Amino acid sequence: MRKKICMKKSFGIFFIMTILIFCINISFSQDYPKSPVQIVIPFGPGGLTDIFWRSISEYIGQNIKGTIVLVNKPGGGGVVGTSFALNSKPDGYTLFSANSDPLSMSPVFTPNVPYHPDKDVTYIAKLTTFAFTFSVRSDSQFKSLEEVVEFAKTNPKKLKCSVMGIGSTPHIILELFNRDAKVAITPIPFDSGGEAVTNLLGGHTDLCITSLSSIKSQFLAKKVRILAFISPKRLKEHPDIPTFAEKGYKKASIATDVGLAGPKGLSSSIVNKWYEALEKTLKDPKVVEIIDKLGGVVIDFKSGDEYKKQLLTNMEMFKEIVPTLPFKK
Amino acid sequence: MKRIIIYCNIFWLLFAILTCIESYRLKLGEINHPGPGFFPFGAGLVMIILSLMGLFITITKKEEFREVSSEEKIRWWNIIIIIGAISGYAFSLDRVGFLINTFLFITLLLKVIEPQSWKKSIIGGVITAIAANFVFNVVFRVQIPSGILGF
Amino acid sequence: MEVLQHLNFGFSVALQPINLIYCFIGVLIGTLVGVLPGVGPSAALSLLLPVTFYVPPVSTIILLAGITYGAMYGGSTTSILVNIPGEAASVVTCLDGYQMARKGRAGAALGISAIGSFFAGTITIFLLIFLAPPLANFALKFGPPEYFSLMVLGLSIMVYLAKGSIINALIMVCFGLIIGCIGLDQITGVPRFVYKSITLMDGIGLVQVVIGLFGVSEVLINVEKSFKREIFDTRVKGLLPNKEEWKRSIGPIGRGSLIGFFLGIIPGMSVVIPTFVSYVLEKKLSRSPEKFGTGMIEGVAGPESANNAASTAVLVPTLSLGIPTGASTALLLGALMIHGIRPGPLLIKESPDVFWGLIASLYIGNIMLIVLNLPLIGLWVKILKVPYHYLFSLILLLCIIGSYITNNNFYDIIIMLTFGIIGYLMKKFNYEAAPLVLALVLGPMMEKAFQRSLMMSEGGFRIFFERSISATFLILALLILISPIFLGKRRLKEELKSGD
Repeated sequence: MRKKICMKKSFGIFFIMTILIFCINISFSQDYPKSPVQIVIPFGPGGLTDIFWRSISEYIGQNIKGTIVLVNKPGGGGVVGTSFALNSKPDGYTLFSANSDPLSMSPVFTPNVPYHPDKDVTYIAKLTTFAFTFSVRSDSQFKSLEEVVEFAKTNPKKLKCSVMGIGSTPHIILELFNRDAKVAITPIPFDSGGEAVTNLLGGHTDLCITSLSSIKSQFLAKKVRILAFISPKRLKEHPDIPTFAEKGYKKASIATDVGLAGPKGLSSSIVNKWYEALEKTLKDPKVVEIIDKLGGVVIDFKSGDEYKKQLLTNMEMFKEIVPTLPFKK
Repeated sequence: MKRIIIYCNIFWLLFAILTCIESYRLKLGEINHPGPGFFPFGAGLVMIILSLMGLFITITKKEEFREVSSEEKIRWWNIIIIIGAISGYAFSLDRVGFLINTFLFITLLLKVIEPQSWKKSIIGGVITAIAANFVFNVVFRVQIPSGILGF
Repeated sequence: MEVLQHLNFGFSVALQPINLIYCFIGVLIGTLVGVLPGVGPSAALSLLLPVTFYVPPVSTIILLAGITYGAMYGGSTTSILVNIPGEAASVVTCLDGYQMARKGRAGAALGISAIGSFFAGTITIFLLIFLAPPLANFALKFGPPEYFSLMVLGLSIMVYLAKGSIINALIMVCFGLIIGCIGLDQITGVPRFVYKSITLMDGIGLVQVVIGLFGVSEVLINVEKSFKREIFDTRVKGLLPNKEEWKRSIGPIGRGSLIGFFLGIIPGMSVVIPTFVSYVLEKKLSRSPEKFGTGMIEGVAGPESANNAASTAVLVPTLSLGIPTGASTALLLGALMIHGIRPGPLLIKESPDVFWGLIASLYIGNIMLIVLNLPLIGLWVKILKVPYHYLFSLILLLCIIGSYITNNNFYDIIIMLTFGIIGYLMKKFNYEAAPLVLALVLGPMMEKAFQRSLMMSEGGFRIFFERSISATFLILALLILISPIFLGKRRLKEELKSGD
């Protein structure tokens, strides 16, 4: 009996040692990334951010010579996932989709956000901007942005505009627009871009600010009219539609930006590796084609430092409009 | 039994009052422009009324309630252990990893709740841990943390 | 008829061998995903999204639709076997399905659930074909005031849901409404009852609540005493429903399908709600309503058909308006967009092969699912033969994994555990879980609709009555609430006379 136990014990030890050696071997044989890198998406599956990353993750993976695993951690408008990623080890194996909403807006509009976009984040790069649209139904009386402003000036609070949630980019765009055009259009918040569009179509609201992808099919079917784009430049598929900036609403021309970042303390060699891989990916014509098909996603590659500067500048601007929002303590 | 029902209603009464207080702090707004606290306050108010009604009905009932007693004693320990095991699992999952956690969890439960021999418990634990790992991390690729073993 | 021509075309597309294979893979994955609690079709869809790049568009949508469909079939399996809802929509199936399993009728429950889903799917597909565009336009008329009134109507139906004490059930409703408020208020952006916890900021997840309330609490109750008595009556008295059960199920299946379809086309409607409505309707129509909750097959047939019908109906606004109504439809749309297909009013014209191919493959998928699921019933029933002293640990493990997977956040496990304890106490003290779940689903939707309506009307209440659809719902709700007060008075009197 003792012999049996002895044998079992030694076999067990041998077994464990083999596995350990195996593991250690694997870890020494490759460069970074040696194991799958987790990219946290702070939004739910199906959202534009999610679809964007899923569409290009394979290509990024090829360029960085590693496996990318996308993990959704939705909640709090992006705060939950962002916070989770920022609290993980800065070993380069947990990165996250650095969206402008949770990084530059939430710290201003949502109380108790547990991170600071300046000190707690290592920015790697900015990838794209999601263009937003300012639309009406095709049977609406408004054929241009100016007409909307004119009507709104004489009828304060009469116009209703569907947006995606209080404190989200579309809502802030509306508030900034209200301030700059000196009008009072009432925002009606919905849970998603899709819901915002549905309510516009059903006649429950008069205007709608939402991402292009949510409204594109209606636009092509001529059920809605896009009066303007909110994006850095005119979109090549729709060269005849003006942008907010052109019409004098440059300050209101913020959009959701997407980048890649990690927790503070990320080594610069890892940052550079990713920067190069991302740059290469976004120059790949296959990737460009996929992104174009998504609609309304404008490639705007910038370095991590530039992105950080942009986010912090925007944050200062947001602080100015806080007093105009309802129920803000 | 009657006492228990009274305690339950008192519990809900307290819960509802607490809810109303917290909702009030959240700003009720006006009826035409409700604030964040409006809805939960209303629900809390209704709950206060309901629990008072429940208290009233129970206290004024004259007859005795059917005592549903059973011959066996309730094994409180089982429940406490399960609660502890699940909590332990949750808190250590990120650090220890899915495989080991599952193994420990199953082995513990098998051994303690309805006592099996050590051999059966450990074998059960190992088989379940490996099978579960295969199904979830390999087949479904759902990424439950690997913890210290790294796989 | 023109439609028959289209259908013919559709079938020719769908019956191509490659598409048949994709359909099969889709429904298979869907079933597996559905069986797993906490993992919904959206998880599978998001994992497979990159794969769809290399797959032609028609096949993509067939694959993805198959997954969504299969998930609805699979979700009821764990509900019936171990009282853990595989999907939130399968909650209602737990009520009577699990009780049937305990009586040895698990096979019948699984069988009627599969068959009911099949008929529901078939009926709804036909409705989809003929009614999609006009219905979609009708559904657009549902604005915030209509949603609010509909939710009020939904809550008023709850009165019929309660099995025991009405006061207890109503307290559960209030409890559900309050819990539903936890989290970031979507309308004002103010965190409510969050107390600086990041996990709570997004509210209490329905999945975690339901797994805890049903799955875990059931285990806790069973563990109280020793396992000498049988938890499950494993003398299987026949794997499929017998003649009598068939007869009783025809009505519920038909009614459930219609309820599921017409409620499902409303954009944003949760799939959970039609199942509750169907359950309550069957209970009201039954000759022995008090037996509901002890294993009545109508309580399985109706809701299961409703949930399948609703998940088909969800495709109506998605395909004809191009507007996603939830995570899975959003992923579906995303996959199509990547292929350059624009769902929406132009879909039928521009890509008829996609639209009609999809319709045809939905039907084929239905057939495949029933062929797949019926033989599996024998396998599932064998699972119940596993001795409970091992089975219960597996059930708990499944609960843990199911609640973790949604957000990869271990605090969700704690939430599930908390509700498991709450559910256990509720069972001991005679409180029901169903009203709680219904309120948890309806509450947030109702509140948001209320707030938005007031924003639209700048504070006036007339908006609820000025709009015809909304007014209709409110009047119906009032009628439903008034009549049971008389019934309720009688029940209250009975409660006062007898014991609880």
